[in-house]
Amino acid sequence: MNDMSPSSSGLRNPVPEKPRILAVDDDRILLMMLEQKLQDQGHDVFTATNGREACEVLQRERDNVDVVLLDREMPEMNGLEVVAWMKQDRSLSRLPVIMQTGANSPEQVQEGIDAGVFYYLTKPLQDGLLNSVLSAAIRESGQQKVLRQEMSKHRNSFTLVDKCECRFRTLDEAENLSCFIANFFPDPDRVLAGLAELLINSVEHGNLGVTYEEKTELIAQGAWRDEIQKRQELAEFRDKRVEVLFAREEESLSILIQDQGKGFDWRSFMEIDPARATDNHGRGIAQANLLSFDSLEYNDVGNAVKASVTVEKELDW
Amino acid sequence: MTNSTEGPEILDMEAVEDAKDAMKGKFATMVQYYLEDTVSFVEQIEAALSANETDKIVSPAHTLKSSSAQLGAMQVSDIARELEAAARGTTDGEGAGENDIASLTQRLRAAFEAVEPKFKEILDQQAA
Repeated sequence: MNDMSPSSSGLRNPVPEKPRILAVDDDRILLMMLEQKLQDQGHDVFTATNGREACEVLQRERDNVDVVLLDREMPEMNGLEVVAWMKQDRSLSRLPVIMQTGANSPEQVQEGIDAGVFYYLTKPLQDGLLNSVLSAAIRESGQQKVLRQEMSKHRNSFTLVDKCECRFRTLDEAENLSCFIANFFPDPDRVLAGLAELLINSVEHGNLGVTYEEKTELIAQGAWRDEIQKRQELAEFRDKRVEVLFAREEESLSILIQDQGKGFDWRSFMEIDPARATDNHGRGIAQANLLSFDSLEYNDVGNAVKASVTVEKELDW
Repeated sequence: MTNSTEGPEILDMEAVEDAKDAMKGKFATMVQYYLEDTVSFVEQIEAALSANETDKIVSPAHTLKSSSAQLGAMQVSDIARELEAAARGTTDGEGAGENDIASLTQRLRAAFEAVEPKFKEILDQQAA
């Protein structure tokens, strides 16, 4: 067996080959338009004309949907109610949702963010934005699926680990390591997505110094992964490592991630900023903060972060 | 032909052509859906008005605003937009009164009756 190259993990191309989108709109004219646009882009499309129907499709096709594109305002069961329903279902709760809202309703965006929706489109739909937001949601969906598959391979007695120190350098290592470390936590699925984002950030934005704007541009050109892989081999970056320290304490499990970059202004990324809600990336830290961990603390410059999950104390009989 | 209503065109042919290009073989079906749905939305709005339930105008007006714009029925879209705003204003206890809503509803029906034959003409041409 010498098939142990990093690519055998399948992690290099986390985007599903033919992404499947569930599009939901009570206006069948807009829904037909949307369906056609999505099909033109090479996606498979399921449609539903109200929230209730959307839930039925999700029940039936749960493993076949990659992204849900939801209208905010629908009679009977609106977009937010569909999201609330999805959040109660373990396997649907992490499916990326794109919400379509009225053009001048930042309060609707804020409401959605509070409900756990991180992707937004405004009506009327602009093709450029549709592509950008959809590509970000599909990437998240694909990455989650691949990481989850990978993780199921080495589920073990990891809860016995009290301390673990690791060092890594590349994007592939970041992804593999996040699958490994997530298993130390009582709910690995919950931690996985946020942890992967933090480890990937420490490579791309930390050690390799890719800026927010550069990433926007690289994703739009479909060149992000290639650029990261190119940079990590340059003499300037080749020796930089990320250190990861896991510790199980009495009341919490924590992970400390330290990179060798200059840091960044992490403050504006701790929550989803409605102004960036239609960007093609930039949600990872907020997801780690709001969903994956109970607390997230950066050092002042932003090249070290501690993410923790609180553990319920066992009853002392 | 006289056109006494000011404001946007009854039917914006550029939007029609865009929709045709985008929808390819499904354009005719979409127009048929639009005509059916719009008849029903206008009726819903009229019924809500006579029952004095202006809050029930918001949703059909909201949908009409966007679907009409998508297919180039700009007058219908414009009036629907005003109607939605007026109906929301009323439900909040301020803004436009019943009279405005009543006259907007009349104008909405007139605008739809003006655009409907134009769509049917396009459908006939397509079928030919």
